[in-house]
Amino acid sequence: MFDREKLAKEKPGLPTDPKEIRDLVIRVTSGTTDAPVVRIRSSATSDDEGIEPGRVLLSFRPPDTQVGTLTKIFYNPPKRWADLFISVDPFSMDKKLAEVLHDLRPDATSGIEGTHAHLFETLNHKELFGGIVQFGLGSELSEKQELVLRRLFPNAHFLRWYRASEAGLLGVAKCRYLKRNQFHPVAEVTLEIADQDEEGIGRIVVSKRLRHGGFSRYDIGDRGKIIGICPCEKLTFEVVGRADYIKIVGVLILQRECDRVVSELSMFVTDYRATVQEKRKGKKTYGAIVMDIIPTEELLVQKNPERFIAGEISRRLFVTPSRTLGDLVAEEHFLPLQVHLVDAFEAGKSVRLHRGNLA
Amino acid sequence: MNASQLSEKDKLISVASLIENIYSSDGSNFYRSRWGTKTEFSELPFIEDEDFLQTPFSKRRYFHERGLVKVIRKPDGPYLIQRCIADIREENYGSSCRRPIVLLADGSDALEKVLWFYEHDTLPLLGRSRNMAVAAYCAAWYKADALVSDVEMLSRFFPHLEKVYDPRRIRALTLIERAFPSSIQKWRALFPAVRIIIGLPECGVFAEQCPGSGVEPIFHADKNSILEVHEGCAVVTKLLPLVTPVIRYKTELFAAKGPSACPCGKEAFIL
Repeated sequence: MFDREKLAKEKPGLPTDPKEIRDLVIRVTSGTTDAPVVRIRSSATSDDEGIEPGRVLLSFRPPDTQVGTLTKIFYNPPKRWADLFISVDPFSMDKKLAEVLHDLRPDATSGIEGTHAHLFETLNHKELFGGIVQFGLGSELSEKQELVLRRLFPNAHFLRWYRASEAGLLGVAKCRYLKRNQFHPVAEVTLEIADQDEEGIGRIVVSKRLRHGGFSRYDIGDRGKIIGICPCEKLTFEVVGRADYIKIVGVLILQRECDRVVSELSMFVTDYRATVQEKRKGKKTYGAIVMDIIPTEELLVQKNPERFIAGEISRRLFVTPSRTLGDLVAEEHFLPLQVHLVDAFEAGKSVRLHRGNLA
Repeated sequence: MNASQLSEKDKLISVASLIENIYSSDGSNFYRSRWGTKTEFSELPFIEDEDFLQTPFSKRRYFHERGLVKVIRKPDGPYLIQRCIADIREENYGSSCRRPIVLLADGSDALEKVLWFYEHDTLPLLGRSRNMAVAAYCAAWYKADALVSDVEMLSRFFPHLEKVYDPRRIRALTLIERAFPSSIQKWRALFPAVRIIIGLPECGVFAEQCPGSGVEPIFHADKNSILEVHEGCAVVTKLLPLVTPVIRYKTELFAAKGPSACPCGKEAFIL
């Protein structure tokens, strides 16, 4: 199996023919949980990827992730890519800029869920967003998140991709039979699920054929399962979430950090399952963690065991390099940790860290 | 004749042709409505940000072509301009290299410079300006040999870079500035070759420091631009046939005519 560590050791080789440069892009992973992985890979598109057309594409993605889209627009003209490309920092959007952009009548947008949620909270510009008819999204989406986005972009057809910086496009969801977070692999990709649990959920391992920067049996770092063969005769897989962390309200909840804290508190906690989710209160979105805990005798003799253990975990659990969950609760980014003491976990909860739906 | 060899006289011939095309264009009457009957370059009124702010982008486009639209932020509000790949290719952004890194705060500006390198068959790395540690890590991985940035960004980047990479391996540093940087001696001591060019997101680069001027802020208009001074401000005309042309654009950059006898013989400006 090829993992991130091996990928990071790749040498930055350039093609001998300079004409091949326009097919290449340098992509970098976010580096949120480990050293970033930098890769030179082909940005060539399969037929399946030619689904981000539009007259005017408004991109809310970070600039370094937009280079491939731009080179496709300029160097792949036979495909129907956007005529005009506008890169906008969603956090700098205001009413004046929305008015200026509205003059161009953008009809397509691309971004990640978090940036659009931010726009929804700060600038619900009905005229601008109402004109968007194609909406490209490259992240997991809960039912309620999708509802929020459908209110922001009421006339948009949602295009969903499964992709990774280091690997490019892996799956697309344009088939009508697919449910939320289900995809068909693109033509160049072969996909398998490793280390499956009793529900068939395991680590997503992909191989991809590319002119430059292809790879074989790479552990992408996500969990998922094979659903089967779609009525359209393609393989369907579902992405369940990251294998090692969940990102909400701009912070990462790392499973290994949860494990560390619970290990420190092992005299009180036998095992745990945590559900991490975003909760909306009024117009603000908060982070929230709910923990099911199998207690030890030592915890049960405490005066208020749920409150006691919630307090201990909150002040130990780092959710950023310098701030604990307790700090972010005090700053009103998170709701207080909820703890439920249980005798056993619900069937199917074999994984310790889950993403819950937006509530 | 190569564009880089254009004399001041050639530039005036070139701009006369550009004015004629813009004047007779059906694409937009943005300039025509401001020029009235005047078509002599030296008589044309100056254009300011306010003109761009008052006229929507769709009314300032002279022709339709695939391109990158840039958001220009000004104190009174934003406006849009467009760059096509042909415009970007003709600009004066980079230098001869194999592994450049572009590090600029403005996302659209950074994308424009990245496209310049693609147009010159060079694979660029777009550095993540909001995470200098990651940008430095990537530069080291890529074995970067050139950097396009500005002094403010470079000052933040350099401490991270020197931890992971020998900065002397960056053979060419191009600084795109709004004025002559006071800290230039420091950067000249750290990098083998430093170019200082003056540019703005709305009009691209328009001046380059005279190679013979050392630490003096003496600049010449670049091959694609005519530079004038009005009431102490730089006035820029781009000779490229842009979708959103720039003719006698009065910038807010302080400028003055330089010494009449620059050793290289070109008209000099102090910026």
